[in-house]
Amino acid sequence: MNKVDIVIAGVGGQGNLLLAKLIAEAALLAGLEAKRSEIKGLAQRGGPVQSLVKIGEQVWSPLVERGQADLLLGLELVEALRNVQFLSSTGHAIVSRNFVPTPLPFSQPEMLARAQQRGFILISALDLAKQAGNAQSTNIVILGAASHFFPFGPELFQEALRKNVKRFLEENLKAFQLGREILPTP
Amino acid sequence: MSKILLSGDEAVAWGAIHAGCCISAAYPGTPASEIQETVARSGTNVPFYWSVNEKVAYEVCLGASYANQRALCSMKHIGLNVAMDPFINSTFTGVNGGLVLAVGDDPSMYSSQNEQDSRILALFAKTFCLEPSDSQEAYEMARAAFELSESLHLPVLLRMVTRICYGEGPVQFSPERPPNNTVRLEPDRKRWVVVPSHARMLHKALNEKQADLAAISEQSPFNQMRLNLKSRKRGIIASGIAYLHARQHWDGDSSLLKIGTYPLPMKMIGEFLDYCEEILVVEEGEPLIEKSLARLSPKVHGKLDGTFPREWEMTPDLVAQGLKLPYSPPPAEIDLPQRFPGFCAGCGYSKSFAALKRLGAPVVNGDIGCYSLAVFPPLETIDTIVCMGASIGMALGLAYVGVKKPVAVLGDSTFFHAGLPPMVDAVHNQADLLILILDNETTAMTGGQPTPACAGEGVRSVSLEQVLGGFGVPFRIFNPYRPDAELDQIFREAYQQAGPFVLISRSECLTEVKRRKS
Repeated sequence: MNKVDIVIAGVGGQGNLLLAKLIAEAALLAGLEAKRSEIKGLAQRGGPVQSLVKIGEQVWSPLVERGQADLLLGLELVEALRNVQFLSSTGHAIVSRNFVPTPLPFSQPEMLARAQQRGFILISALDLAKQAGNAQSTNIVILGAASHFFPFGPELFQEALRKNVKRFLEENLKAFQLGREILPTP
Repeated sequence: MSKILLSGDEAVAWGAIHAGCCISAAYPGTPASEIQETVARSGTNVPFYWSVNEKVAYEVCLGASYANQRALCSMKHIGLNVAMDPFINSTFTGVNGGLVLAVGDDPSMYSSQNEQDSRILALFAKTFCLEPSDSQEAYEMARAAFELSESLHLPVLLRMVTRICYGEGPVQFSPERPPNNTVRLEPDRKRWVVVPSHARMLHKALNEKQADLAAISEQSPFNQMRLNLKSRKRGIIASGIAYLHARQHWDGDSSLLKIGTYPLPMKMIGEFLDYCEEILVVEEGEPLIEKSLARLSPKVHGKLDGTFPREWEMTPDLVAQGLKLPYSPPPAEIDLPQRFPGFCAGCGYSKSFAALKRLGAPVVNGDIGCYSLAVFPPLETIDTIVCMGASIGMALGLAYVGVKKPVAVLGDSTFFHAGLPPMVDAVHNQADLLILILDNETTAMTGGQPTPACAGEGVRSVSLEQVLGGFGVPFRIFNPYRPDAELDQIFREAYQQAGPFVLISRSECLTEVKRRKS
């Protein structure tokens, strides 16, 4: 089957689109088909950003159906919660503890509690990214943690990183490794 | 060559380049801006022009086509309203070099004012339309569109949607056809001059051509019918990206008809209609295919009978429900805080809007661009937004009927695009308006394409000051990063002037500054 449907949720400027691109390219390197879909324009100006990636032997629609995502990758708590409907009953949500305040007074502890109730796997992505030497690499930390759930090995993600990331490559490779080590191989 | 991942926009650009396209013209608009961006970055020598608006972009392409050059014109769906005048008349005059008009529709209005369906406009203009379902097809259809355009002597419309434009999938290129750069100009007034006596003949000729269009549609490889020989129970007709949503759920028990060309292949559709007991139509936008069938048969289901909603984009979720497949996503997380898109941190526009809010004018007419963000909290300054350039035109109407000094706000690129004609009226009628031009020296919202005021290699800056000076309208330029008290005084003084007065808030787009540095 090799099918993995992925929803990536975050806000503008968190490297959502790069994360989607890396997954799609790694899948292509693995000889699978990949499609990704995203929304640009007005929505990107600090608003919520959602990317969809689907990989498999054959991918038809680029859109992920609600209740069918194998992975929900959250770069921000509120946006991950907003996309929870996509997650399948057997899927995994790998979510950064990062919280970007909204105009209304909601707190990070409240969002964390709601994420825990949903069974999200919560990652201190910012701490790990800083540890790797680049605070911007939280998206790559999440990729590392998620890399256990793909039908191919981490080396293809690393190859995709080398192909697509020019600045802070070493830091990003380290961020990937730290993210991967945070979860046991299932 | 192996497959590469391309967005639909990129695929169209490469399809055009590989079809020997000689010129590309566009006005940026989400989701179609990246078509010409791709031509620009392609490393080929295909000349590209960011036109002042879509009408001019289309006329540029039409002129080139008359000289036997293959031309690619790209715009968002709403841009076609601006280009409608030359587009519709060009189906009367016909074209010489292939003219392909790639239009990005925006179902669900992710970045648009409406979700009009360009297929309808292609049929309204009585020309041919192709609708790709993924990047590979976008590439192939762009190439085919040039061939069709030249064989039919008609502009061909390529109907894209946001999910195709920005969806990325594998594409296999096919061998290139070199561009035919030999300009051949053979003026033909009976075709190229649409005075009434000519136009009457041209309309007749266009109508006679319709049989050819229909015949091509019937034979097109972009329409595919698969009949289930074991069961006539159900059939699905699907087009564009909606075909892929349907294909995802297709179990082989239903018959399946994929549509990719317009005018519709009615013979094929008729055969399908006769074969199947029930038919579900899945299409993006208006129920165009469905309408052509529904009047023939009550067994057709889709948007007209309420199986699918009439608005917003199609999804695999909707198809699952339309096919009555099991569908039970987990409950949504309710009561989550809304997140409004906002100005980039430190943007000069937000300073100008804060000052405008403090001014307290009775009505602020807004326009199309980043500054539409001033509708949302905390600024909540703009009262109307209708279309490109409407800020000045509508403020004129309000002033004419006696509303006290309306304010019109628009960006520099929008001003050049559609603000010049109403500005002429404002000056001519000495209308009592304050016009605020937000000049960030770029077309920011769509990714930083140049405006006519940008200087560069081979282009000359059309100065905003000289244009306004030529109009004879008083204006003042200010830096929006000045202290609030100074800004308030500038706005108050401008507002007290009788007749039209223009304030220009000038500060370079910060996102562009960042982009240039990286």
